[in-house]
Amino acid sequence: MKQRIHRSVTFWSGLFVMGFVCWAWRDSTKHYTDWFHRSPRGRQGWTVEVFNGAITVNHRYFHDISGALTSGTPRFTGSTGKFEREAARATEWLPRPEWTRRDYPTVEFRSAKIPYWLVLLAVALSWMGLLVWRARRRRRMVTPTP
Amino acid sequence: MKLALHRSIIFWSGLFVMGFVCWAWWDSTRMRSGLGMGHYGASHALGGIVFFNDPSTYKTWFDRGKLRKTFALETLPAPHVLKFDPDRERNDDWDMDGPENARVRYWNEYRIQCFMIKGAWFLFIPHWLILLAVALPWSAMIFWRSRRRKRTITP
Repeated sequence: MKQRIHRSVTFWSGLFVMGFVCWAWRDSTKHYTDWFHRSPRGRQGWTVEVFNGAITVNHRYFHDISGALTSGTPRFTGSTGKFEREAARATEWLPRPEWTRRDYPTVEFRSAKIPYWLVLLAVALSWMGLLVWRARRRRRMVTPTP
Repeated sequence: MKLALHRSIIFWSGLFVMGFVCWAWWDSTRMRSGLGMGHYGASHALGGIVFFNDPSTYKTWFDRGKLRKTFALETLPAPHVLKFDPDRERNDDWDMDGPENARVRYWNEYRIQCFMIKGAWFLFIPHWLILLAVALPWSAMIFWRSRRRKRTITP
């Protein structure tokens, strides 16, 4: 059976996704974009930042220390949800992936930095894997004779 | 011909819109929500919507959070237009402490970091005005419909 890659949904959707990733990568060197969301009581907060060629996701969790001798449990106040995007000058575009984990008496902090090159690599590899699988499947098929 | 209000699209769509405005009004007394693009923005809080232009910032944003209790709510706030004096760079002598500018101070604190800058403007539309603007044409249309139907003879 012929390969006919231009009739493959995998081929076109992969190109589309990689095109988007490339745009987002380039954009992250020109703009700073961030999302924030916190839990209703303000005990937890999630932030997603896109800047300097990477996506950084972090999570903060405030422990309940109301029993301790402090002036109250620390928590997020202010915005419950936020989105912001503005022009910014990037300092790098090919960063290293990072995983941070810090535990303080009052707050737990987790952060993952995923560089865009890694995202592109992951998409490209799975895309190529799927296409190779498809090619092998089609090669084994016998074209029906008319 | 009978009035049959329950078969009228105007009746139900008007109720739907007014219900939504009432919900938004209630929401604006406890939450602030806002969005903006470039120099322009709109915020929703304290019983109405404010549209503004702030030349000191340029960004795309969305923000939602709880309203602070320090800002006293008026039941029926007045519509408000402000335009800062274009002949001066800054309007530092603007009486921000006056009670009529409590709302401006509020917006200033939350969204508009440098609202006193040249070229800035501010337009506040209270929810009761929006409700009125919907309710008046709605009742007029219902009234018009009832008259039209009264004149029609049932076959």
